[in-house]
Amino acid sequence: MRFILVILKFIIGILFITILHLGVAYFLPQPVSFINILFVVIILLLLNFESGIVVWVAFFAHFIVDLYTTSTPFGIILFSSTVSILGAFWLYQRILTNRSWYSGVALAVAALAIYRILYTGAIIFVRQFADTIAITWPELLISFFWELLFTGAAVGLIFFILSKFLPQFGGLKIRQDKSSIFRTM
Amino acid sequence: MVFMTNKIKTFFAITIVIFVTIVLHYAGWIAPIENFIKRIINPTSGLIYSLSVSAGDSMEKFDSVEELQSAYADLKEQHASQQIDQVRFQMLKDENQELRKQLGFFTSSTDERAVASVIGRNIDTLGSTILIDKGSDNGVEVGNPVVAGAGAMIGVVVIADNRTAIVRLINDNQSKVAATIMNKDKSIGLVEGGFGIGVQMNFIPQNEQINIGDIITTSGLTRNIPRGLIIGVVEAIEQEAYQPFQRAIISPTADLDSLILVSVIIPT
Repeated sequence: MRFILVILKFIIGILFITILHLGVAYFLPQPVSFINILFVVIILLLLNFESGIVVWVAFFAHFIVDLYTTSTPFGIILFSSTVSILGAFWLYQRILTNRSWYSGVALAVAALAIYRILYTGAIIFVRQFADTIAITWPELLISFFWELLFTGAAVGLIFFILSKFLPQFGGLKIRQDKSSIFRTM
Repeated sequence: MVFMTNKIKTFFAITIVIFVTIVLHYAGWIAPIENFIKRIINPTSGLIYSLSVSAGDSMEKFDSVEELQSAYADLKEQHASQQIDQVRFQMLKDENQELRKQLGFFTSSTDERAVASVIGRNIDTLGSTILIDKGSDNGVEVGNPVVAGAGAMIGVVVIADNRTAIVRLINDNQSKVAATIMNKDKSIGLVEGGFGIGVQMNFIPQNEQINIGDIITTSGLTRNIPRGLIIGVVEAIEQEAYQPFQRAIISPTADLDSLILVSVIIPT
């Protein structure tokens, strides 16, 4: 019963953050709409739960996003986002272990940078075989810059506010007891 | 060392899961799950989208009273000019109908139209697309042109599921539509999108005269797209003496940011 509830919570949570991601993209004006809500939520979940489950959250949320993406073949977003969150999880375990708003910003920026590097690499790779993806590089890089800026700022701001009210955001260093990505919350 | 080995194992495990998911997606084996997810997301997306469009409609702001007065004066001028055009158009229409009757010339468009509501738009950085609530169950197919309002071309269907379809807008950087300028030379060229922020017409021969305000329509040279769908008007002209072609920056007729109802043209 408890397992079903956890799964149900997991599914509802993923649908909720995906809808939130859509809503932000629709409502906010450019360039603020470049904020990556999925990454904001996933990084905050990582900082809160310190669990590898965030990798699966990233996988399923980006699976949904990829279903609605036409500019790149299915799989590019799924691969680059999931692997980047896996990288962020390892970074959090070994390097960015300090629990502070600026550590959160650094983690968000690092995760997004890995994501966009893998995404660009995957596009270049696919273009070797089929030149179906049209890219205007300067504009794409500018959009990545705005995404890094606003997503990093949002993580820092939300973490700072949450740390004033929630004790789990106020700790000093990470707990090392939830290091596997194959373990539930 | 153990941490590194675990990392490598985890990375490969995740990569295999992703790879299997991609293969299953392209094989169509997880289509029922995907359709189920879309059925949950689409209504919510439609609601959020319509809310965002209605919020956007009331958000036009002016920095000063002078700017508002100037915009109002421009609109009045445009309105007066359009009234004159409307009278001329009506006269020409009557004349045309009479001539057709006399010539025994019959035209009939057998094309069907599927009216669809826009329920979402793209969220990825590269494209400019919308999601509509009509799909292959309604006869919508990949390649069908999509119009808004009284026939303003807005894009082409690129993905058609059973109940929904994705339309690539004319300002998407992968969009290419053959077009004609309604000038003296009836110049032809290619209307291309530019990263979702603009539309331009390329490959217009350098020696042909184009003017700001000229109307651009589809030329019928792109497969499945009929001739005469209005795309927009020339807003600016880029002409370099050493280039064989000139370029026109287009202001699309339809407001691509606030589309609510569109029509898919289904050839019969």
